[in-house]
This record gives sequence, structure tokens and C-alpha cells, in this order.
Amino acid sequence: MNHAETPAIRIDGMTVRYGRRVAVDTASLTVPRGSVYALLGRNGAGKSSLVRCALGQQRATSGNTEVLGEDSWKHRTRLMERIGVVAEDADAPPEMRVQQLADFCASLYSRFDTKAFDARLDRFGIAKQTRFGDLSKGQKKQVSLALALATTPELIVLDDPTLGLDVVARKSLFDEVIAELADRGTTVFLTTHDLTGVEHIADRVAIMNDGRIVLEEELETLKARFRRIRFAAQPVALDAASFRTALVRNWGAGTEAIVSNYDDLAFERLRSNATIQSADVSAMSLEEIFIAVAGEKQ
Amino acid sequence: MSHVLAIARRDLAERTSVFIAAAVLAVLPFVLPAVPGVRAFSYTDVVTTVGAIVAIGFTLGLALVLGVTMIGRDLSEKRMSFYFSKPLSASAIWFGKLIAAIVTLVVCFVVLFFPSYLAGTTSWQRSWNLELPVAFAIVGGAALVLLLFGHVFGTMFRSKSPLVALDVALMAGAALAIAAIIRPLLEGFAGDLTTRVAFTLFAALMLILLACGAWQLAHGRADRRQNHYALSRFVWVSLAIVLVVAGLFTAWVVNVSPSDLKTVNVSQPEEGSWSFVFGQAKHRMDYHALFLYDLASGKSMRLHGIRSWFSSGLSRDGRTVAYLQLPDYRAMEGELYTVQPGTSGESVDTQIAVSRYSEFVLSDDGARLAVIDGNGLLTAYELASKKALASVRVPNTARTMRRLFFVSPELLRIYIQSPQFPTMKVAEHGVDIYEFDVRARSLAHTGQLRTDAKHLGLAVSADGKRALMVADRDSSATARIVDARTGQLIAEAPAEGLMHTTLLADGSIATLKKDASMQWTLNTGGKQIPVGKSTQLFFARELAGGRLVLNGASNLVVVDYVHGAVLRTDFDSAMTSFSYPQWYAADPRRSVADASQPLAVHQKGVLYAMQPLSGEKKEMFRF
Amino acid sequence: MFDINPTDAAPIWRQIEEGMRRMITLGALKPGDTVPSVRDLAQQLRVNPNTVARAYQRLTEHGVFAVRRGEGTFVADEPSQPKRSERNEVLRDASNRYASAAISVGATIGDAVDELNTSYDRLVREHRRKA
Repeated sequence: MNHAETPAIRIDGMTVRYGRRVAVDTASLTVPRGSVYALLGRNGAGKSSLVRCALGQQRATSGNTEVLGEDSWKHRTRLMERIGVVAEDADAPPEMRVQQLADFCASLYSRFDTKAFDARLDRFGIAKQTRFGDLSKGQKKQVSLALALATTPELIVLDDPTLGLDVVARKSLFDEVIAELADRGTTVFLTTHDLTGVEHIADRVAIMNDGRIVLEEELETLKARFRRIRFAAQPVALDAASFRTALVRNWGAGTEAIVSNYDDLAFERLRSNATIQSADVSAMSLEEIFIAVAGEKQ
Repeated sequence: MSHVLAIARRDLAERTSVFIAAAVLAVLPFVLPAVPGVRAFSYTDVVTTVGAIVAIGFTLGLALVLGVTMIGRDLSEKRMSFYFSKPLSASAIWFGKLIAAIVTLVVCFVVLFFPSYLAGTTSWQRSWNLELPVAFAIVGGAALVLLLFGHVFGTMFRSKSPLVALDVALMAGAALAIAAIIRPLLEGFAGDLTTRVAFTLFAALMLILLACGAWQLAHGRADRRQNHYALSRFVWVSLAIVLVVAGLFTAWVVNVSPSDLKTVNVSQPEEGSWSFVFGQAKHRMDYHALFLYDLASGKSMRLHGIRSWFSSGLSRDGRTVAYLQLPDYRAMEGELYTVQPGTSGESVDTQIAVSRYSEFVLSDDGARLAVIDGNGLLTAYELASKKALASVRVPNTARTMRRLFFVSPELLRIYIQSPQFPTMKVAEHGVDIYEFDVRARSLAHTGQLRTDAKHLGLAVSADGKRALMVADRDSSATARIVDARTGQLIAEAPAEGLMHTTLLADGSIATLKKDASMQWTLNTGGKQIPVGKSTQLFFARELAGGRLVLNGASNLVVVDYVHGAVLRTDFDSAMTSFSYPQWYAADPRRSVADASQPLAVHQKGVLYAMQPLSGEKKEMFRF
Repeated sequence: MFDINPTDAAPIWRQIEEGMRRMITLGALKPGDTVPSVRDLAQQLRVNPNTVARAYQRLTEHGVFAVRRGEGTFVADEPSQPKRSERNEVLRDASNRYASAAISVGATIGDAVDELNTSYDRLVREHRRKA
């Protein structure tokens, strides 16, 4: 099997039910090798359930999941050799010292780069004799990341890695991930609320809403097709030009519309044809796009 | 394997506080004697006793706690993902933690036990009777049980799933199933077999529990409820398989026929062709079975119970058998069941509770039953309606023998014969005769017999009118023929001891006597009939038409005592083992059998039905 | 060196490419100068190294950068300016947008040109200062 061709993660129709509640509803996504893939969603959208099932820690109610070409439920044990995981909740035993954690992990994996691990701890400024339970939330994530990267994985999965981190810690975390990307071309799959941070590094994004994947595409294309258009008057002609509006609302004296299939030429044509005199088009940040897609209905 | 050890090491590193606690407690037995009040006892005794108690108590308590927390704590604190996000198999996680728990228990026990044990070796052995390895095995077994059960119950109850109700129901079901599997074995006197089956079931359960964690984690992973469901599925399915196999085994054990028996005991009542066949089953260790076996047809009926030693259990018309069903072979009390041999009918529970050593008799037509217990309480029952008709207390002491029969369905005659054992004072020997009118519920003392002889035997004639009392004084024996109701003397004659004197159908006495050269002579009504040479010879049966069957150790003699002739002698075969019930059977009446009824006779490990007059033998089964 | 603006309509790799070209044009980067490694620039800008690599590849293809085996990436000795057609395309796109914006606020062409001059000067000065 050509490594470059099999996706790092392929989820096909995953459904996760807890009793009557549907946490994940027929979700499908594909994470290409070597890419940075961000899964976005509000709290309770189902991201963590999806990640747990993708990692073979939980059994989905239905659907297939293949990670690095193998069924993640059936072959979890040998897959974890090739995957590094930074969990949302730090789950190492609190009395364990960081050094003991490293020794424990080193005994389980065939590859464990102790030098790299020590170097990362140095950069994070964490002492090896500290007990895991005595570390701050951010430091726990940093140690988890250092452990995950030390095993030189092909794929790293980060579940909300910047939650609880201050600005400095967030930067250093991204630094490590970027360095890893540059050095080894590791595939990165992460879920997050930190849209500004991820905006710079994600290749592909997916947005999850109420258990469903409502959007999955390259970040570049997504940003290219979303625009905010502000009119001084009513935007009567937008539909005529077959622009799909995600959102239309009052803005000051005029109107604001968020268009999800923007095209420069089409818009220019519209302007020259229609009676609307003033329109101001601006690109949207990922955060703004996310709010438009997954935010509360106005 | 290395992963298993890595996890075990990891878990053990977390347990340092437990080891410290054990080390501290190990000092306690040495310090305790300093407490006032304890000082009174010997120092080494206190040290070793307290040390042993602390060691066992701490280890067992710790086993339960470890069982619940071994996997349970990581599951409830959501830390299982720590293991599942690493290349660790579910088995490695389970067995690693299990090994760590066991090692913890062993180390703690050693740390707590040995210092105080070594402090006073001899006193320890004085105060405890068990050998050390056996004691360790018991403590170890208990600790393992607590550890594994702690894990199972912890997983099932802490998941807070409503399905735990199903687990509880299945536990009850399993307990019932085990009881249902064990009970038939105990009913069949199979103490050793039962122990072995119970032990095997226990070992199977332990194996299931030792493996359950690996399955549970493989299927439940980091989810607490899924762990519970996976554990339940594994445990109940495995246990069901084990119980089905055990059930099939018990079904096979229980399913015996007379030909499956070895060391068989065939007991033929004095009427009819049905015999009680009882024996140990082949290939089934100490499982025993009881059958009603028809010598005429070879048909057999399985009885799940025991026959009473004293009560023949067969009605005179030969159509109803009563026997005792005990819950297990050690029980002293059971319920009486009746069955009609030769019919397709099932055994009927009379719902009469009877002790093993009570006497009971059936009326001649099998419609009524009378029971008299060790305290003298006599009750008459009607079997069809299962009703107790009347009850009365008969004067009685612990050392009397109680015998009774239905003169008619409404009238019971009771003989209280004392003492049962000849060691009592000679002046107290005798028989008191009572009659009990069932309808009127009145008890009448109708007669008595007294003797000063050490041994006393009483038999009543087949028609219930006359009784024979034999008084045996070791050097000589005398026989008295008396009225069976009033005890009034009718005639007196010399006897040949209890074993060689009997009452014939015509009301006369017959005796057997052996001379120096082992030649036997039958003496009836003045006639002397030589009956051949034999080491031993006893009265076995009276046949209609004035004939007697005499049984030796391995020979049989049929005599026509009216005409004074030996009709046939069979060497090499004898009637199957039978006791000599005429002196102690609950029903004291002699019987006269039809001459065409076959006798149960054995020869070289084969049971035959032999026609007494023609000598024709039909092979029934081998044992 | 330069900032990446997430709300800029241009994708990040394009912003990097343009930023590099700007710096060369302004003389902040001279021919023969070493260029930050993909890894370093990615960390500096906090962007995906793939994105940086893509920009570098385009710059290399267009002759702006040159890769010397074993030594890294440098500004080409004769960094080629964007082809005329490319340059025109870029100018056309940008001027379209600018003209639209100007018309929508009712500005005259004179006002628009004045603003354009001011912005051009300011940007050149800012980039010179940063570099």
C-alpha cells in the first residue's frame, strides 16, 4: 500500500449514540497524509466522541474508521505505536513524576527519542522530577505533547490542545507542532476552539454542528468563498446573482450579508447591473466564518 | 510480556503507601502486650495470635479494596485513556494490574505475618491446628476470591447502569442452577462426587473471573458502562456454558439403570416380584441409586430416595410402595413418596414428613399409611386425600422398638417392644400391645408379654391372630405362641435362637438345627426333616402350599414341610443379601408368598430370577 | 519580517510570496542574501510549513529564489520580476477592487489616485523600516 495515498484518517458514516442521544450523526471526513486538519465545533457538538471513536477508545454505534490504513477499533494496539495522542483531559496518574512517565512510555514504544523529549521539556521549562499532578493545566498538556512527539509518530491527534493555556504556552505549543511538521511531515489532526491560532496552520477544516459534519474543505477554498458584504440599502439583488447568503441582518442604517459562494467577477457584474450604489466587501476570518456557519440562528 | 510487567511495575509504584501501612501494622503485635489487660497472657502467644489476625484481616480487606479499585478507579476517574492511547493490549493492561494486585497482597501478608510468626513458632503451632501450607492456601484462595469478586461487583454496580438488575437476577439464577446441579448428586449419596463437582465449578468460576478483565477491557475500553456490559456478557455466557456442561454431567450421572450398578444390594420383600435394588453406580464415583425392579418382567422404576431400613414399604397387595425422599444423604428428615410399581404412574408426594428412623406401614390395600415416630406419636393418614385422620401418643421410651400393622383400615395394632438393646435391666423386658381405633380416635392397651431373657424376638402370624415370642438366654431359647391381641399364652416350645426359629402359616413353630458335621435338620410340628449340609442356613420365605425356602451363604434349599421332603437344593447360588426382617421390621407379620413368584438369586455376579419350585433361572442383569 | 493577515482575501502562501517580493523590491532582501529556512519562517509566522514551502516553491519556479544544494535557499542573483502578464493580472485584480471601493463611497478618480499615492509611499517607508 502506497503510504502517500492512504489517508491518515478516514471516517465513513460514523454514528455514536448514547442511549437515545445522538452525539455523532453519520459523520464522514478524510485527513490526508502530511496535512494539518482542524475539526471545529461548539461545545457539545460531538468532537470528543468522534475523536475517541477514531482512536479506538470507544466503539461507534455504526460506521467505519480507518487510521493509517487500519481499522482503529480492531487494531488499536498496534496503531497506537504509530500515533501520538494529546488528550483533552490530562490522564496520567497524578503521583507519577515526569521522568517516571517518560521511562514508562519508553518501555512501551519501539522508538522513543529521549534526547528530543528532554530538549522539549527544557524549552517548556518543566523539571523532570515534578509530579504530574503538581503541574499546571498548560504544563500537563506540554508534557503530554512532549511524550507524544518523542515516540516519532506518523500522526498526532490533539483534542483541544490549547484549552487552559495562556498566550505564551499556546505559542510554544504551536512552535513545537510546527517544528515537528517541518522536520518530519507528521500528519496533525486537532480539535479546537482557538480559531485564530489554527487559522494559520490548518490545511483542511471541518465544522461539526449537533453531531453532523456541516462543512469539510480546504481552508483556503473556504476562506476564498466567504465574504461579508455591507450595503447602505436593501440587498435585493443578491439572490438574482445566485449568491448563497448564509446570513442577512441589519447593520446600522443598512444591511450586512454573509455570502458563502463569493466570486469576484460575479460580484462586479452585479454591481454594474444593479441599482445598489455602495457595497463594501471584506474577507472573513475563520472565527467569523465559523460563527456564521455554526453560531446561533439570528 | 514486557508490557504486562511494565504496567505491573507502574501499578506497584503507586502502592508504596500500602506497603508502608503494612510495615507499620507489622509492629502492632509486638507493641500490644504492653497494653494493660493484655499483659496477663503469654507474650509470644499474644504476638503470634495478634500477628496472624492482623495479617489475615488486613490482607483480606486489602484484597477487596484492590479488587474494586484495580480497574475501577481508573475507569471512574476517566484515566483509562492513558493506557488505551498507548500500544498496550487489553490483556496486557488487565494482567499487569492483576499481577500487581496479587504481588501487593502477597508482600503485605508476608510483611505482616512472618515477623510475629517467627517470634514464637511453637506457640503458634499450639494455638492453631492447621498446617501452614494449608492455611496459606485457604487465605490465598479467600484473598483471590475477594479480589476477583470485588472487581466484578465493583464494575457492575459502579457503572450505575440500570442493567445491573439483570446481573442480580442472573446471579440468583446461577445460584439456583448450581443448587439444581448439586442436589441430585447429594440425593444419590455422592458426597465425594459432589465435593469434586463443587470444586470443579469453583475452579471454572475462578478461571472465568481471572480472564474476564481482559475481555472486558478489550470490548469496553475506556467507557465504564461498556466495560460493565462486556464483563456481564463474558461472565454470564461463560458461566452458562460451564453450568450447561455441569448440568449435562449431572444428568448423565443421574441417568442410571440397574445394569449400571456395581456392589448391588437386592432386597426382596416377602410379597410379590418387585425388589428394591440399590447400589453404587459404575464410573460415577460414590453415586448410588435405588430402583424398584420386577423380577418377573425385568422392568425397573427409579426411586429418588431411600428405602427405610425397618419399614418394608410395600403394601400387602403388592401394589403400592412407600419410600423416603431426603433432600440430601446426610439429612435426617424427608418426605414420604408413594409409587405404584408396574404402572406408568409417577411417584406421588404424600407430603408426610418423616424422620429416617420412624416406622411406617401401609394398609394392606395401600390406601392408608400409619407413622409412629421416636416420641411415640402415632398418626394415621389417608393417602388419596393426603389427610391426617387421627393421632395419638403411645407410651414409649427411647429404648423401645415400635411395630405396627393395620388389622383393618380402621384399626391399628401396635407392639411396643422393650428394650431395643439387650443391655437394659432384665426385669424390664417385654412387649405392650395396643390397639388404635382410627375413627373413634381411641387407644386401648389390649395386652402385654413379659420375660426375663436378654434377647427377645416377636413375630405375628400372617393372618394377624397369633404371635410368636422367642426368649433367647444365650444357652437356650424358648418360644411362646400367644394371642396376637391379648398376649395370652397358647403354647410353649423350645426354640433354636432368634436366627433359627420362625412361625409358620398354620400357627406352628419351625426350627433349624445344625449338628457337628454341619448337617441341618428342619423341625416342624414334631417332624424332623434333614435338609442337607451347609455352613449356615436361615428361614428365607414361606411359600403357599406348605413349603419353605431356606437360604445359606451360597446355597438354597426348598422344602415341603407338610410332606417332609426336600424339593430341590441349589448349590452355587443364594438369595441376594437380605436382612432378617421378621424380628425388627415395622410390620411384625410373617408372609406367605405365592409359589410362582420368582426369587432374587445371585450367582457369580449375575442376578437371576429363580422359580423356587422348578429351579428355572432367568438372567436379569450383571453387576 | 512581515505579518500575515488572516482577514486578507489573499491566501497565506500568496501573502508570503508577495511579502518576499516586496522585501526584495524594497531592497530589504538583496540578491544573494540567505532566506530564512522553511522551518524558521513557519515558526516565526506561526504558519504551516507546507504553506511556506509552497510559497518558496513558487518563488523558486519564478526565479526569485535559488536553491543551492547543501547550502539552502537564497535570493537569486538576478531575481526575476514577475512576468508582465502576471504583474498585469495582479494589478488588474487589485485595481478592480480599489476602483469598486472608491466608486461605492462616491470618490472621484482624482481622490482615488491621491489616496493610492499616499498608500504606496507609506508602505514603501514601512517596509524599509521593518527590514
